[in-house]
Amino acid sequence: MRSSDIELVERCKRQEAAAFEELYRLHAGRVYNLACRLSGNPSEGEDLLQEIFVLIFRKLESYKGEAALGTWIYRLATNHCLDFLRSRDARMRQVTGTLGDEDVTMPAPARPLRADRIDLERAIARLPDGYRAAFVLHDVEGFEHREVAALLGIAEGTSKSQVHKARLKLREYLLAGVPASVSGS
Amino acid sequence: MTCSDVSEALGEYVEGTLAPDARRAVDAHLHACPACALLAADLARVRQLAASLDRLQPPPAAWTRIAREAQLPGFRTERSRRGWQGWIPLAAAAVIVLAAVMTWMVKERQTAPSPQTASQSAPQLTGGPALQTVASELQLAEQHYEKAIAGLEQLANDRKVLDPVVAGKLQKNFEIIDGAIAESRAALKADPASEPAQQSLFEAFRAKITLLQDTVALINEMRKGNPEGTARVAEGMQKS
Repeated sequence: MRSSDIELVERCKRQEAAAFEELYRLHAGRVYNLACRLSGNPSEGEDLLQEIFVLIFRKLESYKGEAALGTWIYRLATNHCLDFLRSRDARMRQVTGTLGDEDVTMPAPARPLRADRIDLERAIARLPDGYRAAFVLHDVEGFEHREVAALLGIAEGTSKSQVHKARLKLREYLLAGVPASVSGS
Repeated sequence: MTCSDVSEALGEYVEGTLAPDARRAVDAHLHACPACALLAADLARVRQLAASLDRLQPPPAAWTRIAREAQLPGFRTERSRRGWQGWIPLAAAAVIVLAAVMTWMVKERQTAPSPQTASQSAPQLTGGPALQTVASELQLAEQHYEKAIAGLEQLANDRKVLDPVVAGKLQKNFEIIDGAIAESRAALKADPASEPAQQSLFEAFRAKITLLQDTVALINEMRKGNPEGTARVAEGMQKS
């Protein structure tokens, strides 16, 4: 734990208003990216950002410094987003239950993939929640498969499989041309 | 090694974690199989793009909402000191988000619904004569405000033509402005001679009237199935 983390948390625990804002400014960007991409929807990402930081401020008293503050916040944010996905997905299907269920069809390759980051953003939003979670955590956020597995409550091999299938699915979307009406849900 | 075997191995192959022997086998296959080589290149491209996605920035208004929701110490004092001036960028930012959503809608919605337009029941919300005194300005602003509210209530059912996301964003904007109006009224009640509080109230009224006008215009364009008109309204909201 860095001394700057310790100092900032102590200031928050002393209820210094400026400290809360400093904590937010330091970590909001990463949390917002995670929330938008895991939910696949900027509007839901914004709501998640709010929920997560309210939760962080309420739980800060319980932060003991076992991990760096950024790690603690990121883990809390990830878990909250995944809870949200499971809750949203429960209305239709189980998140983890469908992680490996969907077949990935492989279009006959005719030309190299031509896509940019905007295309990929839209394609990611189209992914099934389970695929998207594994892909975002691994390929976008840079977690190792063992970390993705721990976060999602799946085996490491399943994480590898999900990320691979997500890439195949993304390629399928990108080759077909991602529709403009992607909502991500 | 078959194409199916290679396809299974490409996950770890593009991550660079495949065992050396397996990697050599995959490489050999890729040299001989253009289809699998193309697949490998595409997957590597997806992975490369994913690692270089733009970093999104939280909306500027997000912090204010979070601080209020969390009831952080000192926030209420700070917001009261700034008064309505603290709300203006909040509402403006929310409108910008809304405008972005509507721009997206223009691309999506190409069907033309009912030719009936909301203007048939929409109130005329344009401004009246120049205001002479604080008292008359307050009174006139109240009249405009109440008239606009009445008009919006008439149109409430018509908002079903809007995408639920857009309708939600509109609602959020109205709630933000209503909060500012309530806050300004409370400040005026505590200090009726407060010029900043009066200005805040006027700004809040004007913001609400503008948003109501834009809402009516948006509903009109959506019902006409006019993407260009919808984009024009959205652009105007973004500038306001």
